[in-house]
Order: sequence, then C-alpha cells, then structure tokens
Amino acid sequence: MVSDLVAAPGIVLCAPRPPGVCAVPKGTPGGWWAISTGQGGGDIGIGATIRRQAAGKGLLARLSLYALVWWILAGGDAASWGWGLPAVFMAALLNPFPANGRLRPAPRVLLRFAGVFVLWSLRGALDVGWRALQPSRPLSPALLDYPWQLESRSSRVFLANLINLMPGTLCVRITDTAMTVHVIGNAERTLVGLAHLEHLVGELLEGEPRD
Amino acid sequence: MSLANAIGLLCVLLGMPFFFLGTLGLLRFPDAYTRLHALAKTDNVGLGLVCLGLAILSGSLAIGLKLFLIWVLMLIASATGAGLIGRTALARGMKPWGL
Repeated sequence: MVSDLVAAPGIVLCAPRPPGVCAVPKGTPGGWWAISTGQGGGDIGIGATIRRQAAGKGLLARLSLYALVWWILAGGDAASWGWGLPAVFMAALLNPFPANGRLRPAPRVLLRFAGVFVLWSLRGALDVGWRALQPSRPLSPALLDYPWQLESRSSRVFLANLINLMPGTLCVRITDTAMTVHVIGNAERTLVGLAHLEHLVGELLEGEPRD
Repeated sequence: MSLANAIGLLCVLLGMPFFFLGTLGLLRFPDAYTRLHALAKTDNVGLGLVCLGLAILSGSLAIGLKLFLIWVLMLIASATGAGLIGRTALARGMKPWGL
C-alpha cells in the first residue's frame, strides 16, 4: 500500500545525492530500522536496553542531567524525589539510543543551531498560520524521499524529529537509506532547507564539518 | 509598569495568536498530515513566547529556567508525537490529501 503511494504519480521522488552514500551504522544487527520495527537481532528488549545503558559510557552524566531537570521542574521540593528518583533512573536506563558519550558540540555550533532553530520555528509557524487563515487554504502536499547523509542512528532520529518543528516538513517514514518527508509548500525550497538542517545536525551531533 | 513587565506581557500576548492559528489549522486542514503540520509548528512558537513572557514577568531565574525546561520538554514531546502519528498514518496506508 505504502509503496503504491510512493510510486504513484504526483508524488515527487528526489534523490539529491548519489546512491551508496548512506551506510547502515556498523554494529547494528539488521540495521537500526530493525530496532524500531522490532525485527532482527535479539538486543532490542527492555532488559537488553537496560543492560546496555547500565554498561555504557555516560550513565553518570545522564543521571546527573536528569536529576537536575527534575530538581528544576519540581522547584527543589524534597518530597518530590519519591517520584523523581525512580523517574530519573528509568529515563537514564531506558534510553533507546546507544550510549557513546561523545556529544560535545562546540559552543559556536550550538549557538548557530539555536539561532536557526528559533528563526525557522517562527517562519514555520507564520507560514502554516497564513495557510490556515487563507480562505482558499493553500496547501500543495507532496512526499519527498530524502536520502540520509548522516551516519548515526541517533542523529538521524534527531533530524527526523527536528524537521517536524521546521517550516513545511513532517517526517512520515524512516528507513535505512532515507526518510520520507511530507511537505505542504514549495518542494524544492524545502529540500534546500532540509540539506541545510542536516548539515547543521551533522556538525552538532557528529562533530565534524560536513561538505 | 516597568519596561521588563511590558516586554513580558507583550511576549505572552504575541504567543497566544499562535495557539489560535494552530487550532484553526487543525479544524480547517484536510487530513492528519496537514493538521500535524499546523499543530507542531504553531505550538512550538506559541508556548515559546508565552514561557518567555512569563519568565520575564516572574523576574526569577529559577522560574525562568523551569519555564524554559517546560518549553524544551514540550518541543521534544510535540516533535516526537507528530512524527509517531505521521509515520503510523503512512505505515497504515493513509493517503495524504491532494496526492
């Protein structure tokens, strides 16, 4: 059904990059897609996730970060830790992403990302608000296949979620090689924006400037 | 009214129309995908401005930090929720409107 959809006329299929660029992350049996679909590999259960996260790097950092978040949200209320401590431990241990503890974005990159995020958020909200206000309800939907340039599973998921908040894009499918994006505006301009965001996410999470 | 209070109030007032626009999109747009567009984008900015305004009005760093965290957590929930609904809809063969 879905493949019919994507092959149907009127749906733009784009391949802005040569095939073969998007490698499946190493060490992930069946590709990371298998994890989200529950296929392939025996390391996808809750017990396995907890064991992996408990053994992984950065557990202490995650525990401290989540405890800080709880402390701020609860306004320092001591009685709240009865709920807070189990929540903090569960969040740190049930994290589905590989714990590699490599995430140290340069402040300059972080600032640039924050600037783009705020500006594009505003643009996206005004754009969709304008479409909702117009009597003619101008929407020109299309599905785009966007091949991954990003290497790691977590940065791909981050990008897929990020674009849901950015102007005119919604991620509707994630595979090993590409994500399918539902767009409501100009498809070509959207692709340029996606490439820019992917570049930024690459710098932010994978730590190396991308071409 | 001090300048900070005026700016805070302005941010809250500027944020509220975004919730209206999102709701309008939810009611007017034709399918699940386009409605997700409307909600995810406008809630992000609407809540951001309201939280920013309230943080300025509160005059407290602790409350400001808490409101910022609430916004960030809502962003994560909103982006993840929109993605889950969108991916499930397509996986179940729901055809996007206009295609």
